[in-house]
Amino acid sequence: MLTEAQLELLTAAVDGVLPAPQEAALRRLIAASPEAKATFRHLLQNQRRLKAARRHAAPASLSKAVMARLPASTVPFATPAKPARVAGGFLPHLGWRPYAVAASLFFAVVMGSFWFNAVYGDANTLSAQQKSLPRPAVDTDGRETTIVVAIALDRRPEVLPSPRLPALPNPPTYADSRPNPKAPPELVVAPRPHTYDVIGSRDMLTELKPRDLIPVRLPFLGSVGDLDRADAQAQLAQEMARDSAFRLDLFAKDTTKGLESVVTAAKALGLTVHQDGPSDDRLKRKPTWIFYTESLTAEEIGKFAAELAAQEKAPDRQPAFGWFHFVPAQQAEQRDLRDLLGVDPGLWKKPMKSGANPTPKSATGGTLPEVITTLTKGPLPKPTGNQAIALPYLPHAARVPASSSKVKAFLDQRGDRKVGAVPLIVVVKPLPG
Amino acid sequence: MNADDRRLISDALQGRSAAFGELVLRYQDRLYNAVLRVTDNPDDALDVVQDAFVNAYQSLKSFKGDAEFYTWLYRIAFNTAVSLKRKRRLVVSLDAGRDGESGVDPEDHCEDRPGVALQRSEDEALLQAALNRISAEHRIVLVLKDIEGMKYEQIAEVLGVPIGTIRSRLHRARLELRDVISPGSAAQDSPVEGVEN
Repeated sequence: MLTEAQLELLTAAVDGVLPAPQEAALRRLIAASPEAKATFRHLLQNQRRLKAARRHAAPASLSKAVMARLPASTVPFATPAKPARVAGGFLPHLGWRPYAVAASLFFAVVMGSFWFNAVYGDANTLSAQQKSLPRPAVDTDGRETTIVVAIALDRRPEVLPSPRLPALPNPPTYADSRPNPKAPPELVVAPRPHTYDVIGSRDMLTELKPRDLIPVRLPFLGSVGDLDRADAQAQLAQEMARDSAFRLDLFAKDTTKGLESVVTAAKALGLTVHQDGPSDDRLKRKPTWIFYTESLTAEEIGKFAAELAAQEKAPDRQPAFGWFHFVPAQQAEQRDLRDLLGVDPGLWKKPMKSGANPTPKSATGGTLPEVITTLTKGPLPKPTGNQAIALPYLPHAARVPASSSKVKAFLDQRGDRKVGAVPLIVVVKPLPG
Repeated sequence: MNADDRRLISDALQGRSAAFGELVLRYQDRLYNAVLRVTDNPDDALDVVQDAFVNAYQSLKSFKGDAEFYTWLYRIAFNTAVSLKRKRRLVVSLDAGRDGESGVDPEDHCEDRPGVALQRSEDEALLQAALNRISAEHRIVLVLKDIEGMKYEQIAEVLGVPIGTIRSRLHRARLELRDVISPGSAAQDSPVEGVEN
């Protein structure tokens, strides 16, 4: 018995809209299943019959009949009615046009004045200030003597040095403190507008200033089945270069099956997944799951996404997901993880560089508790890295306590975060509706 | 939209009804064939096509020209067919197909060899009977895709539904047609490219 997905593959192949990867899947399916082969042949033959069906010509009288009916129908190109005149008023035949022209002229004059003042306002002030200054003196040879004036572009008159010509025996020289007196007044460069990131909204906690640019960063949305495409992989990499921790929301019809796909993809990348679930049967139905790992680099997360896409498109299984959202992690996720794990996950904590020495501890620090634990419970497991944990997330009643053995095992074995690792929270949630 | 159609529409809008007559001549066969496959009744098909052209003429001013003229025409025709069906309950005569009879004349008068002509007319009758047994919604997408050779986008435009809906309708239509055409029917034994026997 062929599954719905296999039938869809066959009919899509008949339509001739199969991309290359699915074409390979089709060949595998036909090679493996005689039923699929027979069905495909049957579908193709039906299509061939339809394409070969004889075309029936319209009766010769059709066009005449249509044309005969046209004059009786409404003529679409009837002469347009003249616009109704407005009774009374100023120049009624002109309607609203004079008012519009007058308003436009007024607006243009106002805007022109504003622009003129904005552009030449300082220059006018400068001219007035220059007029108030002494004219160049003329020496005995009739040559003009240069007067160097320091002019500030501040409109406040008290800033300008007042010339005192009578007190000066020679043509006065107003020395400029700058080396080149002809240099233009120094411009003050405004600080660059601060850029805010709406999605990674920790910056938004700071106060916005007028004229700050706010480029809106939209979440990366798409179909899970497309995550192995080159453009989706490139966008994922681009997103991951911008932040240090991420959340991937996956929408699934059956969240438990969706989580299975996530766990399978994680295991394919060598992760050890510690999974715990609700004990109450009522809560086992479609809870929202959270999957957390801090053992994958950005490149490995790309592979993880590609693995999810490959599972989506596998011909032998039903697609588990519809859409995904990929967004930077927020404080809320940090809080929720802290509640679930009982410790702060440190989403934005920088990983220890390789070779860096950890803070030295005293020789006896922590020895006694370890000895007691070893004696009572056996030796503690050594951190192995490459760990992940999957827990029920919502509803709250479905959550397992932070003292769960799976949580403890995850915390014991996760070790220090490796260099380049990007904390990733995957939330498998039911499709809305 | 091609330049000829644009010119003819422009002329028709300026009052030259002969230009619209040329459009009718250009598309009447194609439209009639598609509508006949859907209605399975030549009289109904004729009525629907006539009404469609008249409605198109009356609404010509509202045609924006951002789509092909014939897809717009198909849309009007299929809407007209549905309206006619609602009014008279005659247009999509599913009962005719269930009785194994078809309103479409299966005879191909162009065939020279009697044996081939007979075989082909049997196939035609079988195909039309099968089309009549599937739902009108599925029949329309099959006609537009396989008989009219339209793309998904064009079918979506004609029917005014998203492309995803067209894909799923075609999928279900092909399965429904497969169920009503028995595997042992006449043309079933011919080999198909891409599938080894």
